[in-house]
Amino acid sequence: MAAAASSKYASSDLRQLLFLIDTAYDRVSWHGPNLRGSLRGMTPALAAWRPAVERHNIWELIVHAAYWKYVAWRRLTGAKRGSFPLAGSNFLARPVENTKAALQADLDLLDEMHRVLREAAAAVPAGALDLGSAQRGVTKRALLTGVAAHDLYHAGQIQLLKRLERTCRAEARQREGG
Amino acid sequence: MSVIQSLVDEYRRYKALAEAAIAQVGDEELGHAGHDGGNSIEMLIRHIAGNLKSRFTEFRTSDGEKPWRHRDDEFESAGLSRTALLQVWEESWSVLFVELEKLGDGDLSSTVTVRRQPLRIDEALHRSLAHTAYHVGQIVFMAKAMRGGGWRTLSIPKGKSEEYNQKATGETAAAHAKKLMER
Repeated sequence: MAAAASSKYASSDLRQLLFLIDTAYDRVSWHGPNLRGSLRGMTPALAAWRPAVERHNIWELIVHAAYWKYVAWRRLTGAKRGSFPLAGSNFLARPVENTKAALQADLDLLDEMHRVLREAAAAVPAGALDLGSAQRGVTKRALLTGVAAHDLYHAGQIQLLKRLERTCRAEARQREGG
Repeated sequence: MSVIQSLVDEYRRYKALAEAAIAQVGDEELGHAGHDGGNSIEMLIRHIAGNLKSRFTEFRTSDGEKPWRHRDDEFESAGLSRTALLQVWEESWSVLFVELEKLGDGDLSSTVTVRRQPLRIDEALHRSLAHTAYHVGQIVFMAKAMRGGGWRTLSIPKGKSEEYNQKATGETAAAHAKKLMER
């Protein structure tokens, strides 16, 4: 009886964590745009735009988010390093090719990294969320909570980058017109 | 680690990230509006603070959107000094952490209300953490723009990812927050 109750609790607990990572990524969320929502209608020009020379563009944030979802998946499953489809880690310089197809490929990569991470999260056995991941000191629960917060941290930044680009473009048009 | 503890650690990480960013901007810069009349860092601080204080004051016994909260005012400049602003900030986080200390994992399926909408406590906490992380990302973005080349990074330094991966030291949310607070 006690085991059944514990299993039910863990299952509801996991559902809540999945809800958290879903709403942070692509399910309707209360807190405004989630990561995928912030990327809706993205164009190569907007994704590649930088507010200053050394600053990241939206495109780099897309690949950065994909990379950390991959890392979280690896830590969750204990998979070996080195299977991320792109060379490099953390922030990868983007764009390599400033085309719609190249942007779509990176958006697809982000979707895929999210999909496999979510799949691995959903397969965590009841009661195992508070066991360590393949990362010293970090539980599976902490890993998944962290991934969701990380998505939103950058979604907020992408919203600012979009606004900033729009303003700069309008100012440039005004200068040209004037 | 309990559910509550993992949330406390993650909240502390985002508090520390915001504070490490705020520490890098000048007093006047805190009030600088974003482009095209966007929010200033001061507004974002007051918005996060207003949200946390409202949600977590009498968390389990009253609606999370308090009658005394004036959300729209959070997006108007209040012209607060850094000291006054940080006081508002600290007070709100203190309300959150005191309330979290009272919670145990067995409370997570209980219900609270926000704007008369019933929410499980775990959902309410996850929503709040999500909201906080979203706006902290914006504070960090704006502070970084203000500091330019003088910015002290808050995570893994550029070009040091591989080196960091070999000897990771700030992996848990608590360790990351501690590192930021010790700077």
